[in-house]
Amino acid sequence: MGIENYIDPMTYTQSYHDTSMKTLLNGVQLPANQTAIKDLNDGLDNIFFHDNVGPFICKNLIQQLVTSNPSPDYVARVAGAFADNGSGVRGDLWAVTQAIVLDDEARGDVKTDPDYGHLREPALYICNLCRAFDVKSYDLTTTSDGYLNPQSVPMAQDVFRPASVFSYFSPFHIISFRADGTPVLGPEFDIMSASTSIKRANFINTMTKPNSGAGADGIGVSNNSPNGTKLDFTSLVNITGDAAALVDALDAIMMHSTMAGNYPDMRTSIINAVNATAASNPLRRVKVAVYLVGSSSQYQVQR
Amino acid sequence: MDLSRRRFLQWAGCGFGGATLTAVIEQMSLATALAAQPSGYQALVCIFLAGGNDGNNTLIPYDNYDQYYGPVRSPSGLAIAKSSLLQITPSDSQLGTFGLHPSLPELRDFYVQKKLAILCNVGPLVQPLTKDLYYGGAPKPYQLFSHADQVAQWQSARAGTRSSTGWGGRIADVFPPHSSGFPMVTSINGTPLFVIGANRRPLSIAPAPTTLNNVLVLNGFGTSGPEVARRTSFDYLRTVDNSITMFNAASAATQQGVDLGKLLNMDPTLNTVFPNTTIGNQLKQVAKVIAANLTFPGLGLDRQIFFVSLGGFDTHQTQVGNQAKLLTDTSAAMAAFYNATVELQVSQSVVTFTLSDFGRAFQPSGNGAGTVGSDHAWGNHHFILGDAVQGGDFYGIPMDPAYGGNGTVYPTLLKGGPYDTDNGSGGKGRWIPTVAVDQYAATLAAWFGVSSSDLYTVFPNLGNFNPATLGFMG
Repeated sequence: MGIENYIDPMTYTQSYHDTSMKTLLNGVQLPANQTAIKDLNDGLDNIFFHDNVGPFICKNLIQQLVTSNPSPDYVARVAGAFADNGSGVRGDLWAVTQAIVLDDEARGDVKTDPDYGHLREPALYICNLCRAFDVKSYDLTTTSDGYLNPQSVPMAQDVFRPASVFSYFSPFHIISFRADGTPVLGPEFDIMSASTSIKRANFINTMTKPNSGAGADGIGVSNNSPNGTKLDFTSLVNITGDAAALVDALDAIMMHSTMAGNYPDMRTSIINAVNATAASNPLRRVKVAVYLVGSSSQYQVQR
Repeated sequence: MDLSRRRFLQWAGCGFGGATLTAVIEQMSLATALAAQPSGYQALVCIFLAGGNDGNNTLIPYDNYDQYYGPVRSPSGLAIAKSSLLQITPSDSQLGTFGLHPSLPELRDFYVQKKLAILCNVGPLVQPLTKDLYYGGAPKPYQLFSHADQVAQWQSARAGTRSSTGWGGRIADVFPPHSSGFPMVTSINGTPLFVIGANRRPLSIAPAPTTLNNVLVLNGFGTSGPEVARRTSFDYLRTVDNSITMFNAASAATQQGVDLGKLLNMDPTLNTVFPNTTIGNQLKQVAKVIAANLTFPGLGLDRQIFFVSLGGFDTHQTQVGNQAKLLTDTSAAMAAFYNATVELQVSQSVVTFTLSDFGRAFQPSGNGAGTVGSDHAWGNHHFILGDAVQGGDFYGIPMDPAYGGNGTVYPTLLKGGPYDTDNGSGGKGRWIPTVAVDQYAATLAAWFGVSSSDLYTVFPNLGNFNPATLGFMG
């Protein structure tokens, strides 16, 4: 026992290996008395070349990267890139990733479908916010130490330590049913609950602290966190005189400018809240706006 | 609700803040505040042993130890020593004496006190199976021996088809919602399939030591004008753009958190001491939610269902030490929880029961006491605890001698035997269940108050099994 080793590859112990003959997928047989590593490699090859692997992996990747409910045609197009990257190579993940993010369904009109999109899982929710505001150390002089796992644990994501080998949430998690009875999937909603949704808002509060003094926001220095973490709002402070300009800037940074066109009520509401904060406190105006966008469902769901 | 209790709470609520009320309840002992419970209160508490608890090392034949158990499990070091077993006796004299795993002393005591029943060889089934039917192509559960699928089947009580709902959630669906909006189903461990119904949103909260008045608190809002404006916008944003399916789902979760946070604005105090373990802290939170429901203004549900879960039971390796620790934690936490229900005067009304992914193969995997484990299997043995339980006995469906069965509810531990999915001496010892999850669950649901006609709605496949319910709830 001792400290778990997350760095080195797993090893095998030949003496524990089952050396009998094995029957694998598609009836492929491995002869008896192969070494553990030979059986392992043959087994992985057997799985890798099975017809179901491409669609299975590709659907999961699409769900992670783009939308929880991809069409079968979208999955088929990406699975085609998995089967052959154009040069006869199977399993080229660069080609797969390109096929996922450059597909019409990732970039085209289907984005207006009410079932489109996916909830940002806690790790991505935290990282997206940090990247949007040029995350730095608590004193803003150097880099953050990245000590953020205590923020995601209350949102039911203990990063690198899921409770089971099936990770944090099920790709089959259903959030509602369409009129025709077919389910709408929302894998990340498996860990979205009354409790964790409140923790998400509380994380945004930790990083912004609109109701506290200027230096209260962020994650302070501690034994585990030599640098701490703070968002850098400097570039936004000088545009807060115009609440609409501030909200539109956040729309661009956080929601790739979908708010103004698609969610005008949201925009108006946040502008009103910003205007209720004195213009003489520009940093607080930024924090009010970031809190409201960051805690909104419209931001937490990526569309 | 009893008038004196209502008056007590009104008086306390007028004169004191929430923290003071808690202190008052503590001083007067919770019993005073519990002067009357909602009439006919009942609760089900599901303990999920995640990973697949090895039932073959949880409930072991004592009299037949040397004939079947020892020869298979001793050489590899996987056996539990006969001398360490906690002996118990079922009413069926054919079974003889059995032994519980030595890490379960509290459960042995409950068994002796007839508060603990043991359900033998239960698992997902589409229809009753014999080995001939199993090999003859009869319908059987999809993806046997696979964690994710078997967990889904245990939690949905649907072995023949994938289900979007769990049986805890479906039981709740047949009861009217409480006026407070507080859900009948509370999970202290995420939102597993078990708690999901077709209509209602279960509550999922953090375990102890998070206090109940902290599980659903929004941080950072003040009372100044700008703060009120920010809060107004925060609340408003959840009400717009809900034609987008996922906005609606996310906003509904947050709205539920905000609404229920107003109800959970105090933290009940229990005198019962819980072990500071994963499962202990989850069951402590269940006890506190029960206490809150019985004493907080605005609550008072007459039915509640809870879900807790302990992981680590997937003991392919190093099973001996790991399972002992997990069972120790489970038994101690179940005892503390039972004691809390006594303190809360609901021990007659609360039933705790275990589920798990599957049983584990009788054939050990690996060799050596420090490394040996066991692999995925099927039928398993489970515990049901509470004053309302007809405890002190084994339940199940006897293995039919016409198909080679031994005539008792406990399978003969014989690799390749008539209830092993495998043939020959190389069989792994994966028991074909004789009791369906549907029957186990329906027995609990019937006790909970689900009508005999609704049982077949909640458990659509129940008609394939006879009897529909078993005897462990009387």
